[in-house]
Amino acid sequence: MSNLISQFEDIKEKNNSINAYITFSDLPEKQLITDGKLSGKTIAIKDTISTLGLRTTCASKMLETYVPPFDAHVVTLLKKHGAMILGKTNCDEFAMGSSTEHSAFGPTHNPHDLERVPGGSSGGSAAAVAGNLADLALGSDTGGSIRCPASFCGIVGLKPTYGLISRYGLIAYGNSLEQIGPMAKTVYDCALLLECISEYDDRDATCIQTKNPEYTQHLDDDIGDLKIAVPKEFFGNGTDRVVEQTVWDTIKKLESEGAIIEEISIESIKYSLPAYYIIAMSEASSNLARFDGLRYGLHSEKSNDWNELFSKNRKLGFGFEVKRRIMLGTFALSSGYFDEYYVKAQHVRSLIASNFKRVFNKFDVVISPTMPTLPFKIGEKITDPLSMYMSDVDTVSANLAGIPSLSVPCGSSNSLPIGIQLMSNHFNEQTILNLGNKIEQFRGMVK
Amino acid sequence: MKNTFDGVKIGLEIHCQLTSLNTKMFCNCSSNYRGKEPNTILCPVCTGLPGSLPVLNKRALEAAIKIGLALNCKISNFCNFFRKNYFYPDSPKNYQITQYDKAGGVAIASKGHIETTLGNVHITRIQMEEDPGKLQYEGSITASTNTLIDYNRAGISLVEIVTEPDIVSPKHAREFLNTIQSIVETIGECDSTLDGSMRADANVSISGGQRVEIKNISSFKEVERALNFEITRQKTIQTAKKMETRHWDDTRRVTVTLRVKEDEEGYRYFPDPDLPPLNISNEFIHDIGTKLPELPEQRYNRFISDIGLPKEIAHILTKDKLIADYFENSLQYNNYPKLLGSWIANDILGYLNRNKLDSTALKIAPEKLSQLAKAVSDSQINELTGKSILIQSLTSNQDIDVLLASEVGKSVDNEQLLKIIDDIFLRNPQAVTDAKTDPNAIHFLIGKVMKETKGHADHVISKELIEKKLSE
Amino acid sequence: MLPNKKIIDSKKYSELSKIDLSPEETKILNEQFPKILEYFDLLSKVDTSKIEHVESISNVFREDIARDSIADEILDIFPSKKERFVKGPRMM
Repeated sequence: MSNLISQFEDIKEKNNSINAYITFSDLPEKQLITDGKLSGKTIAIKDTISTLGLRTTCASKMLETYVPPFDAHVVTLLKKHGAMILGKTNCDEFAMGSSTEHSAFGPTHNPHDLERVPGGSSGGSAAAVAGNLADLALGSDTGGSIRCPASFCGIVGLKPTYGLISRYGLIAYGNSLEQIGPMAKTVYDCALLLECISEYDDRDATCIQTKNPEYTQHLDDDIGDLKIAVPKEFFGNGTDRVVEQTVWDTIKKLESEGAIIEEISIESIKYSLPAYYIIAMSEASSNLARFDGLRYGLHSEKSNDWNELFSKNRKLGFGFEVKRRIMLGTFALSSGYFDEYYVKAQHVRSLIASNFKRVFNKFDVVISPTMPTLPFKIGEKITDPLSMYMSDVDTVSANLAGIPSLSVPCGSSNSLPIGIQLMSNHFNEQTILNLGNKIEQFRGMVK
Repeated sequence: MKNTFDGVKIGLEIHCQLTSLNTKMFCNCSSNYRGKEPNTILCPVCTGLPGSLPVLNKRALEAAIKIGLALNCKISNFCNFFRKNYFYPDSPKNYQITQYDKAGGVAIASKGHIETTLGNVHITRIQMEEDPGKLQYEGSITASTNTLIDYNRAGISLVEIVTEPDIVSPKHAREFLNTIQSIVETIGECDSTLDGSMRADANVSISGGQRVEIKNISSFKEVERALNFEITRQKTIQTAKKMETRHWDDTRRVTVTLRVKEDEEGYRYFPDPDLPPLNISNEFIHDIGTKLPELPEQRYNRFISDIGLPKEIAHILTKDKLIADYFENSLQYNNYPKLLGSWIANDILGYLNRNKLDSTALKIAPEKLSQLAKAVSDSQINELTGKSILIQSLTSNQDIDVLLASEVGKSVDNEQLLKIIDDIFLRNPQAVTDAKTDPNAIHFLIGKVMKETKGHADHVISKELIEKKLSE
Repeated sequence: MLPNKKIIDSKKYSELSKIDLSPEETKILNEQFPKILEYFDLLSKVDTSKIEHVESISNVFREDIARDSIADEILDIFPSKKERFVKGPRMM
């Protein structure tokens, strides 16, 4: 235990340069559960996930002093399995972003290159794992927010099937799209964490009751004659050559191991980004309405009436990106535009979902790069919102379709990590975990 | 009596709390909030803490379906929940979870109707939604520097009943509301005696004018007043020129401008992603239907066809469930429906109404009333006496048994009656002669008998005995 | 529907979403919104007339059983109170 305490001090020290954490916990006197699945493991939790008694800010001034009176379901499960929670990690404010630069607590730095972004929005969680500031981490993924930072930081990150993990306690951004998911250095650890947090919760009406598979027990690397589809739309114009090359190298290696590879086309993927943003922003505009300073969060003292008070608190509490998305979402839901934007986006979503369904009738896995580029420099895309939104081009489809998606490291360029994205049909996490396991072996990471 | 103004159209939106439920609509907090200290029944869900999620109370769905069936609605086989987005301090999430009827929204029930004496009223739809918290002011709403907010009520289950603008007068509105009240009370889902359990907003226009919404009407009595005021106001200014929302001030008895009415689009309705939709099978609906108790309209029909009551009596008795129950209880002991029905509808209710009492003030046990009816039927006392005993019992709270006992002693048996008749015949020979030829003249003789017996003789028997003696 | 004619009235949406904007913020948003909307308008190119219905879950309920509330812990979070009430600003 004293070992852990000195380690903890080292972590806090190292965090100064990476800025992965917003809040550190007080470590308990002794570990309560010593024979749990996660006993002996340290874990960092994204600051959009509620922790009882431990400040939860969503990286926003709005919640700078907010301390939840309850644990998210996943946090209860972590404690049940004996994990040691080290603290709450930095992210883009209210999970809105792809670089962890939109934080009221400063950007997080990529451990592989401190001048570059770690990805977002769960950048703090990814950097904590990659920078050895925690064994494991939890993130949340609305449009790629686990996979993007996993790819940029060279670790493993999974967005589970929508409905597998309880969202009770996850501070909502795009509630029809998002899931909490595991982040770790290896596929095995990812699978272990997934096992622990996927217990059914009746407090979340969108949580689906499934048999709780023991992912680690069935983790193997026999890919047999796995049928893999590679949609060309994921290798669009904005994709770096080196990313394309590295991902294809991995695909070729899989083919040599017996997998059956086929290039296909899913045309609707071209429309996934606008559909995603319209839906996510619309939901966000409603989900964030509760932040008016009256019951919790930032509140100013003086105002003439409630109208003025709300508008002032929200002006002071929210960062610019959050304001932008709320306004766009409000617009998309408003009269005269609702059909053209929100309804249309939902129709396109249904189209994408059914296209994927059809693909999975024939194929076991769909593969693509996780991110179209290498990790970019801090400040590079911050002034051009559209350019930032475009970096989600490969990840959002999985959220729209509700399918599970895993990002595993598959190479690097000048020490900058590149991730490969593996998607499968609903509740088929085992398939992509196994495939990810195989890819790990290519890189000499044996478990 | 119809009291219609030209072109008056009134629609009502009635909010009924489902007081029969133990918990709130979307969380397990107790629904028993009345009389509690403020902010003592709270959880992350009903206070809208970040990260909280709603889950629907199954009993709320069942109650809403029951109400829909009782109001003759079509119950939807599919319905969903929408968010109505607006900012207000009593609304913890700054949106209300409700149901909608456009943009893919489907409410739990629709296309119902209710008959009233002043006209049929169509029910547009019935929707499930949550109640907001309560605002209190230090002084009046305009003067108060602070608003005090209590979230105990936030999340309580509501059913909103929306009518077509079929209501033609404030009096009609009152009758309609009483009918609804009676129905939801009968099925047991809403106890309207609880403060704030039934509230109504009204929409009113007069010919050609814009629709004005009146909110904040605290009780059903106030609805009639508020509508009367607003109609007069609209007539004074010719007609309402713009759609607006007005607030009923029940102290000053006026409506005041609140704000120009928001269009529906300001609410940005969209399906709530946290709540999966509901698929409701016909079997499920039918099951609930079989558990419905007899509704006021059905009882009314049964009182007429099975029990044989006249329409007016049946109508009066079935307006109040307690009174109808009381009536049927009394029949259990002695089955004299016409007499008991008439006494209850006319004498007892008349007494209660004159003294501004409600049916809970009725102290006479149904068994006792029934015994009184038997006494009349058995000719122990006559009907006049029976009625007088009833009134005496109501006014003085004296026991019917006691009063009955003293009166029975005063009744006249047939032997005594014959002696009295013989005596009257002796002393009124001319009247006897007249009566032998003119049947109407018999009343003079009957009157003499009644006078002689101080009203205790039985009228019918007296007449028979006199007729018999006349024919001798 | 011409993309470059679409303008989001920042003032209107700032009021609707209850967020005061500085003149600087309003200026930037007014510049950025048309470009973003133009991108969103890509969706108009998709033929969504024949969409297959995707099955989703339905009928999720809970039992009508009361559980203890955590009112005191939540009351502690409210920043401005008068006794047990949340103290809010004036209504008008």
